[in-house]
Amino acid sequence: MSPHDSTKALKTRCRMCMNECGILVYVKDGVVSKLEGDRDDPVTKGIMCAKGLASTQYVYHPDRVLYPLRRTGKRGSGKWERIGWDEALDTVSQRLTETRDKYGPEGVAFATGTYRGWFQIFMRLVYAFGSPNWGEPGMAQCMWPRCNGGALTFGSVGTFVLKSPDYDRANCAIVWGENPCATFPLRGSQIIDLKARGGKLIVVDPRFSATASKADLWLQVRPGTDIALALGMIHVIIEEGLYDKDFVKKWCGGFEELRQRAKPYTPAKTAEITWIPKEDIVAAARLYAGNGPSGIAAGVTIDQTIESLQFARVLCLLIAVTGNVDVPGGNYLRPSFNIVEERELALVDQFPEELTKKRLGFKRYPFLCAPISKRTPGAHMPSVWKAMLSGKPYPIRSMFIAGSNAVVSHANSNELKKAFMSLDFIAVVDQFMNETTQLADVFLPAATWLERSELVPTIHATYDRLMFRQKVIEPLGESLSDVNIYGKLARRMGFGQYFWKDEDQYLDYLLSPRGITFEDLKKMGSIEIPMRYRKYETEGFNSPSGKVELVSSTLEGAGFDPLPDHREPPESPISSPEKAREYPLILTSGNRTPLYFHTEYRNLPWLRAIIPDPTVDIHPQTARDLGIKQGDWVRLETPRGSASMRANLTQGVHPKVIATVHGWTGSGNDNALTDNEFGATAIGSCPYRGLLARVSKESCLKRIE
Amino acid sequence: MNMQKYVFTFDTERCFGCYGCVVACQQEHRLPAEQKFIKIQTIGPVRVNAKMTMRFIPQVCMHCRAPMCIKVCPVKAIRKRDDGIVLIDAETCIGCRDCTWACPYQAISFDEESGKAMKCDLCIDRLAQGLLPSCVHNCPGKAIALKAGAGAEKSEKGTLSVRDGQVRITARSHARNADAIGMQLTFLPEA
Repeated sequence: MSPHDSTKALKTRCRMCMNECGILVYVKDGVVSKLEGDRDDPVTKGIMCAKGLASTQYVYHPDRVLYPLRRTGKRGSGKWERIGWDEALDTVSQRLTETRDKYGPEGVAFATGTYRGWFQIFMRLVYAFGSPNWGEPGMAQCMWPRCNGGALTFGSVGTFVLKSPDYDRANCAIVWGENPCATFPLRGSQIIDLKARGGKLIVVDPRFSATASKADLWLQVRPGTDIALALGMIHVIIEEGLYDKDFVKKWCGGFEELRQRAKPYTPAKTAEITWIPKEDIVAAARLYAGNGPSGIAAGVTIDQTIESLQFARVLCLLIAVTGNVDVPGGNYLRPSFNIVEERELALVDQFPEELTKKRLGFKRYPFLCAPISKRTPGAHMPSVWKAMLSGKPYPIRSMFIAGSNAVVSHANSNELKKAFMSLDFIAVVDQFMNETTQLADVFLPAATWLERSELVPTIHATYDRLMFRQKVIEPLGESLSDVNIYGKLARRMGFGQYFWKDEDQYLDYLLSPRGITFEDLKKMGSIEIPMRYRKYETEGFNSPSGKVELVSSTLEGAGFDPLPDHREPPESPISSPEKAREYPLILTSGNRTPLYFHTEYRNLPWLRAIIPDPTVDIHPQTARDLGIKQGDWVRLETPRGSASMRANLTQGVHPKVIATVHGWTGSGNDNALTDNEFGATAIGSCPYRGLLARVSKESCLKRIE
Repeated sequence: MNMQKYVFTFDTERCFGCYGCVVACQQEHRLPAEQKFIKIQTIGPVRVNAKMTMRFIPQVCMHCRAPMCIKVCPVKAIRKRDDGIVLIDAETCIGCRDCTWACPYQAISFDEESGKAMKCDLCIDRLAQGLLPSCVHNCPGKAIALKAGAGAEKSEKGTLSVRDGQVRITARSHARNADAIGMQLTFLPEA
């Protein structure tokens, strides 16, 4: 029985975060009145978290920008006037084309934010325009290392192997550098179920997170030393004979070399590097190898740590030597969804070689910037900011930003602000004014997820399904879906033939390999893709050798170390003791809360009332030594900049470690502290985890907007 | 004699502190941000028997067997229904706030706009239509449950269960002393 007699309940998928729960949206007279979990949904079965439940405050927010705007005052002045779409799009296409004519396509940078349903068509816009210089705060710092690490080890299939283990069939799980209880409600729920049926949980985190609170074993790793921990576990697994001898013999190449690499990482040596008691390292190795099937959930930490690509690789090696790859309850190698693939859609293979070579970072970071990357190649963004400021190696003078509060979400945000202020032209596609969009020349208002239709291939192993999100209300004001905005722009800039008339045509194209339309998919509800385990038995692994490459031939061929090794973070008490005297604490930045998604939702009253201020976790002993009490405003400083946050005194961090939450704007932004000078080998990731910082009490009260 | 129809349970082993219930309730009852009928408190991290521990516990109307709010209300605006649900009658309420101070769980809030006391009504409108309360319906951890009828309490071993207001203290739960004035939290280590 419907609780809303005159109301329609529409099935769609939430997009307040990556979990993408199946939900019912109640709509009356074209207005969303309420949202709730859809109990009939085959994947999320009715769950919905605080973010999704606050969606009405998001879509109907009084500050939402619903009309195209043009800046009238100086850059950043906050003075705007409303203009029509034609004028807005004409201006953007003229100015971008002017820059391209004057400086070449590389003189226009494109930036986007975290993955959305329109992410691929944004890439198509970039590639069709011809700019090699595009990126987002993720990529090198989210998914590109994990995808490439998986592909280098297991072959090109199943690039999401590290994202989510087959929780519902596992006896043991290691959650490594992730807090799914805060970020993926479904996986939080799966972890609770795993525990309830007697499964074991190991959590690797410098911070005692909600997920760590459910663990049998919490490994409080020193930030940035995870590769040593993994090698230490591999050492125990090999030397104690706990590895899967049959699988290793038949399917793995380079076992002896791995054994030699892990040899120095004895429990005692690993404990010294990681600050984890050696008994716990041994116990974790035995628990993971001895209670199979075991899965590893590798979080965004992997991509934000020194040597991110090798960090992803070493976790793949743990999975491989224990035979936990592509088995029920292990790490699943997901087959293709049989829809148009990202590289094809983004026109990667049609992109001119000379422009590819101009991409900033091309030589130094091939697994981010060159076609060897298993994900769509993009630029090394810190090099883009530096080119904007210095004109070297060539000028970058204009920018197109869609769905990204870039000056908050990239490392060393102070540098971005300077770089953006120096540009000739900036266009943004967004829903709100924020620290980035207020620097623009033209603001194009985008539809929210309730006003868009999209394909949703699930990213939860155990539930392999192709699903959809449907437009439940018409876009408010004059806002348009991203697919429509890019199509209109492309037609003005002379490459409209690569784009579609509307969202539905685009979605039909994506589904064309399956021979169905978006309407068909909506009628079907979703398409289940049956789990097929141990595909290697019939198909082999899709690596150059056809085996699991413990020693990566591709890395070796590209001139890199083919095996993972511990490398001390460039900023640490061990590698830079001089700096550590001035900045005595180790900073792990970028922690998540259950209420916010990156830089979003601080403006939603229901959520903000629960967590009103940016916080930094400090051990009570350290706080006492610094004269800091619970809730005090404190100042954090690194060689890059400073930030103000409220102290959260907790025994959940090591006395020498502080932990910050990312995404707060203004003076609460922890990316004012992070470093973009150092890039991980072969892929260029900025280390957000494992920096040096100092903390002092703020002299007066502060409040962050 | 009360009917004891519902068993409202909260499993601290399952809750992972997502605050979904808080906002589900605010959306359902169209509450302003500062007004909450259910809140989540974080206990810890703290070492208990050498193990680092943290739990999330709810602060919500327990629909007590002998509600303090009913005792102190000067105008008899609060009543307990036959099915056990405790309700405030907004028409009768004079906004004296006595109930907000008397409640051992600080589960009654004061609505500045209407000048009345308000609290969890166990989503009686939804119950009447055969739907679960919104906090139960959406809970990602399936930590909050509402069970109806005889025998429901048997399945609640190892959890904090509230059977018509009677708090059951079991080995794996955080529990509260239901008779205390002012909230008192008792932390019991895992079995």
